[in-house]
Amino acid sequence: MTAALLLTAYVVAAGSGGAQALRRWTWINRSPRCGILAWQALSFSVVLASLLVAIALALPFLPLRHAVAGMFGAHTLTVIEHYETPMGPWPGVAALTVVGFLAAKLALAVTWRIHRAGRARRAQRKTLALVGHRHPEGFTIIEHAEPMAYCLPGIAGHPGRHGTVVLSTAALALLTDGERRLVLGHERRHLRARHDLALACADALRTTFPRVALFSAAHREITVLVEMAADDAATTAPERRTLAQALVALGTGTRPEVALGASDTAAVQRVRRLTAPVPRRRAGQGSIVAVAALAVLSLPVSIALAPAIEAAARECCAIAPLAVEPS
Amino acid sequence: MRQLGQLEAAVMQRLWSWNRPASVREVLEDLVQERTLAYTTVMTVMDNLHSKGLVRREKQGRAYLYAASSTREEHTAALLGQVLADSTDRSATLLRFVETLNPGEVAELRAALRERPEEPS
Repeated sequence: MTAALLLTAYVVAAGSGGAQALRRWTWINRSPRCGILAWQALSFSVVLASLLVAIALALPFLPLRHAVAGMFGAHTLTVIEHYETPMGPWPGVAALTVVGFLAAKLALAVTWRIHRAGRARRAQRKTLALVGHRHPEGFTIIEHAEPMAYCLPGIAGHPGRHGTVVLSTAALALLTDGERRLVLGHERRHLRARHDLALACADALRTTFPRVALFSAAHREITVLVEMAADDAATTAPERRTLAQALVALGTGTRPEVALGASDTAAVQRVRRLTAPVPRRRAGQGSIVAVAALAVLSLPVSIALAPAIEAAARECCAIAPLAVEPS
Repeated sequence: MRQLGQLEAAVMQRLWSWNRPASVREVLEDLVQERTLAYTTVMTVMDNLHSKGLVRREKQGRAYLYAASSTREEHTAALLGQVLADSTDRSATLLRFVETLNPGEVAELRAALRERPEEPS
């Protein structure tokens, strides 16, 4: 019961205030890859904690109770005692129903998103096969007056599973050779690192749980961070300015009526970042973030298991080791 | 299968550039300048294009005359409609290098680029 309450408190706290806490940790953005990992870890930890609320409440009647008891060498009855609620099994049944429904909704959202994206990509590919030309440098050119560059990620189990980069003729005319190389490097990084999957997951979380501030913030931040990560991967320090120039050139476009509506603060952040002196990474920053991510993920599990551990500890002091065998 | 897709593209490119109805024979004669092809292969490809709605055809004497049902520009526009669509809706499909910037941002970014001349790093 206490574990479920603590986990609920964690879900509420991290779901509403986690975003603010993580944003305060600004040095994370010096390494966008660490930033992506941090947002994903925190988001996933909230999802995990929600699942564990239901499992902790329902443990007294779930078959899992034997495994938990066995894992810590406690008697199943003692473990049940530590997870029981004063209201009997009903909170457990209710929590399992609600959380199960939400988990199914999330799983459906992710599947639906990937399915829909796959369909849209296949349609894109078909048209590209008709109107696009292959450039010897390994990308696709389309004739269009608007400067444009994008990547079409691959589709699993489809001839186009490797993804492709598309540049319009206007973009090709606008960019210098050096700029084009960096833009291609940026887009290829997206394809290789499967940034589209990170975005699809963040988007599914955000749209399935629109009230959870953390998920909206995570989607917003990850959208910018994947761009920054691709910027970093595509450039060496002296090339950063060149990529910034390409960004401004391609972002200027030729359709002012569209431009007035759409504002891309991500582009502003990226150009500022690319033109600023190269950020110096703190030594061991990657490992700090990795350890923090691991901690944030194991926290809900530890809270959920704490009563079982306590049960085992009590037992080993009070009862003879004969009772250790799970029933 | 992949070969067939490339042939479809090659046929469409000819129909678009000629900009008039053409028979299978005409398309074949142009295509064989690049590769050896059977009449029936080209006929199958053009029949596929017709069933996909990419070309329309009229009976002219004993043979069909084929013409592209929409221009290449219309196809490109449909393709790019998605690229230019609201970023939240298409984010799962593709990733665009940069959105179209508004004039205020352009001015700001140009300034940012000028601000710090090349500095050794």
